[in-house]
Amino acid sequence: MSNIGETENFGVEFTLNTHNIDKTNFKWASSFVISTNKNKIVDLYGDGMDDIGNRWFIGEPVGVVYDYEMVGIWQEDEIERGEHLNWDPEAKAGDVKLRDVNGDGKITPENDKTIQGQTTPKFTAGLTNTFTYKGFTLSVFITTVQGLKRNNSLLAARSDEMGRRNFTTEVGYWTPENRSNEYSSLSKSANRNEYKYPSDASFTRIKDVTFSYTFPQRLSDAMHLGAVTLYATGRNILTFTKWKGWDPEADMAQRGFSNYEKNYPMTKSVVFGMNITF
Amino acid sequence: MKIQKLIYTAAAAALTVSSCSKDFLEEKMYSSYSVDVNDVPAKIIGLHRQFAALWGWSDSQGFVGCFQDGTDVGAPGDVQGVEIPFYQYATLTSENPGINHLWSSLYSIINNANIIISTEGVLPADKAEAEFFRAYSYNLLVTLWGKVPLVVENTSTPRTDYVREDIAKIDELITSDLTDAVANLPEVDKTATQNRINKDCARILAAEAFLRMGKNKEAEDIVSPVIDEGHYSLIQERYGKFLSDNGDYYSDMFRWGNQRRSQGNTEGVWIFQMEYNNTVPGGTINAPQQRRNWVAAFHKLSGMVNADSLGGRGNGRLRLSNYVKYGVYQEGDVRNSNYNIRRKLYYNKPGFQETIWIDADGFKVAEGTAGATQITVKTGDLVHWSVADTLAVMYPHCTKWGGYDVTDDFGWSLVKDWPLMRLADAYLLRAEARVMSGNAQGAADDINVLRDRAFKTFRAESGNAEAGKVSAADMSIDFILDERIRELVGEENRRYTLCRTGKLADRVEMMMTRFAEGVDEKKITGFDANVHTLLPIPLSEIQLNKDAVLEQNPGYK
Repeated sequence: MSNIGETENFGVEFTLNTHNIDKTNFKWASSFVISTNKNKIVDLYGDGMDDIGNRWFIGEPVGVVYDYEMVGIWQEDEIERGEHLNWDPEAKAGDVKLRDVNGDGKITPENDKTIQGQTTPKFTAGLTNTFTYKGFTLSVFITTVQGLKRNNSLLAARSDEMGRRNFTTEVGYWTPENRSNEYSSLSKSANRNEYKYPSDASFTRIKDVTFSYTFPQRLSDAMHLGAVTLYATGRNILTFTKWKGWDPEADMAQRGFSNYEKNYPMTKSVVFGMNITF
Repeated sequence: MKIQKLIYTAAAAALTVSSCSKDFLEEKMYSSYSVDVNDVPAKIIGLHRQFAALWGWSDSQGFVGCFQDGTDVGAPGDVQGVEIPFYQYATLTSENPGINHLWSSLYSIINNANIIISTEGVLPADKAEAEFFRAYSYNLLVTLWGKVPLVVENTSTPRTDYVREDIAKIDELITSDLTDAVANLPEVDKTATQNRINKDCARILAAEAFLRMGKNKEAEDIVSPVIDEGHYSLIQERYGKFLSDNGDYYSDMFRWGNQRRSQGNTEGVWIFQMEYNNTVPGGTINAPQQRRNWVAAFHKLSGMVNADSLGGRGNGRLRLSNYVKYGVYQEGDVRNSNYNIRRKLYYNKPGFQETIWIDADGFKVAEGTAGATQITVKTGDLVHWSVADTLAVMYPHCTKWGGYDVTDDFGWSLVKDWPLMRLADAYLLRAEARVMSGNAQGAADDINVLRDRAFKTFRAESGNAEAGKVSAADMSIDFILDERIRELVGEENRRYTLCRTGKLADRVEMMMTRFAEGVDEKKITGFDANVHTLLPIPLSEIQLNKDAVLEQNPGYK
C-alpha cells in the first residue's frame, strides 16, 4: 500500500456556554457549538490529473457527488418543437432533462457529468437551552447539519413497490396534466441515464427535549425517600428539511440492493419516567 | 477488477487521514490474498457462489431480460428498466448497470480462478474446475465485447494499465484451459458432489467456444463423447415426484425436486443447485429473478391465485417474442405443450364466479361493448383476459422458471435449481458443428434424436410416425438457431448465442420487419449492426484505468 495523494484539511470548532438568566427561582443556560471542516485534494499521483474513476478531483473535497445536472423535466410542447433533437434525441415527455454540458447534442456519461456537491456537511451546529424554574427543568437540544448532498434512492427508484414503500404520492410525478418540472413521469425509461437524484440532505432537528420535575425535599422526606424526579423525554421530535423520504440520515436502499433488508427509518421516541433514590 | 476497487477504497480511507503524522500510515499487512493450497476447495466453492451471484442478481431485477429482449426470443413486458436499452438500442450507454455487473462479475471470477490455477501444489482436478470457470468467463467476455483485457495472473496489487488483448490470444487461453479441463475434470457421478463441474460441462462449453472460433471439426470432436459415452439419456417418460400433477415428460425436468440427476433427471449435465436459506445457510444466493422475468403476472387476474402447479407469482417483465409464439413450433411438439409454453389458464380461485364480456376472439372487454358476449365464468373454466393484459399480465410464457415457495407467496427470490447444460445442448452443438462443416445428414440425424423425443406422444396419438422428422435438406445455421429456441428457450442466453454465431443483426432485422411488436414502446428500435453486436465497456473501467487507454467499442460514448 502506498499513498496516492495529498489532502488539505482546515477546520474550526467554536463552543459558547452562557448563563443568560441566573436568578434564585429561574435559570436559563445555553450551550452553542458550531464546527466546520473543509478538506480538499491537493495532489493525486503527482501528475496534476483528476481521477474521475474514483471521483477524486484536485481542489475538491474527497467526497463529492459527481453526476448529471438535472435542469428540469421534458415537457410535451418542447418535444413537439423538437428541442430535444439536438440535446437528448431519445427524450420523451416526462423524462428527466439533463444538462448537455459539452453541448454535443446528446447526453453521455463521459461528457455531461459534473460535480454536484459534497457528501460531507459544510458545517454542523448544536444548541442546548436549559430552563429551570423551581423544581421544573426544561432542556431542548437542537442540531443542524448543512451543506451536503446525498443520492435520493427513493426518487431514483420511482416505485412504491406495490405499497411496500411509503411516501410516493407526496412527490407529484409528471403527467401530461401535472407538468412537474422537478419530478419525472413514472415511465420506466424516464430516467434512462441513471441520474441518481443527488439532493440537499441538510436538516435541522429538535433532537432531544426533556422536561422534568423534582419534588421538593420536604415532600420526599415525608415519603421517606432520598429524591423523586418525574420526567418526560422526547427524541427526534421534529425535523426541518427539504429532503423527500424518510429522513436525510436514514438509509433507504432499493429492494434487491445490498443491505436493503436493513433499511430503517429514523425513529421518534417519547419516554416517561420516574427517578427515585432511597 | 473488484479487488482493485477494494484496494482503492482502502487507499481512499488512508487518504482521508493523511494529515496525521507520517508513521501512523506505516502499515503491516497481516493477510493478503492467500495462495495456500489448503484453501483451494473453499475457493472452488467460491467460484460457484460467484457464478450464482452473477446470474441471481436482484439489484436490477430486469437483468435477465438484457440477454433476451432485443433478440428473436424476448419481448419487453412490464420491464424494470435495466433491460430497456437492450431493445431501444440507441439508449444503450457505457453506464448500464447490467453491463457493469456482468463485466465486473466475470473479471472477479477470472481473478479468483487465477489464484487457484497459480497455487503451488493444486490438484489437477481442482485446477481444471477453476480453468472451466475462467474459460467460461473469457468466452462470454470475448463473445459479447470482442477484445478485452487478458489477465492470467493473480492480481495482488492495484493495476490501472489494462489494455484490450487480441481475440486470438484470448482464444488460445480458452482453448488451453478447456483442453486441460476436459482432460482433468472427473466424469459425471465421480465429482465430489453432483453440483460440481464434470468433464461433460467442459466439453459443452468447449464446443460453444470452438464454434465461435470457427473450429467446427474440433467442436464436433469434443462434444461427441457427451453423447457417445452413454452417461445421459433424453427424458422420454414422466418421472419423479410430480407424477400425480398434470404435466408431461418434458415439463417434469423443470420442476424443483426433479431437476437433479439423483432425482431422476438423466439429461442434466450441469444443474446448479439451490436450497432454502432456512434449511441450508446460503442455499440461495442473492435473489434470483428468473421467475419474475419469465412468468407472466397472471396473479393479477381476478379468479387466479398463486399456485405451485402454475409456478408461483411471476411479474411478467419478459415476454416471448412473436417469433417464438407464432413462428417456430409445429403441431405436436411437446416443447410447446401447454405445460411448457403456457397459453391457456383455468380459474383456480376456490368458489370463484364472475360475469364478464368477451369479444369474438375471446378477449375480455368492457361491459356492453358492441358485438361482445356476456358469459359467466367460474373456478375451473378457461380464463379470459383483455388485449392490454397481453403486454404484461398474461401471454404465452415459458414455464421452465416456475417455482413456488410456500413461505413467500409474494415471490421474491426464485428458490430452484438452474438447468444450465443438458444432453440436448450436446446434440444441438454437434448438429451445428456438422452443419458448419457441410455434414447436413449428420446434423439432421442429431436433430431427429431431439425430434423423436419431442414428437413421441403426438406420433403415437396421431399415427403419423413421420411427424416432426427433419431431413438433410432442412439443415442450415438458421434451422439450428430455431431448433435452439424450440429446445432451449428460457435456458439459453440468447444474446450470447446470436453473438457467438454472428447472427444478432440478421435476427434483429427479422424481428423488426416480420415479427415486430404491435405497440411502439415494445418494439426493437435504434439497432445499428456496426455498434450493437458488441456491448460497451463499462465507463468506470475505462476511467479507473488511468495509466493506459482501454478503448471503447465503436459507437458508444
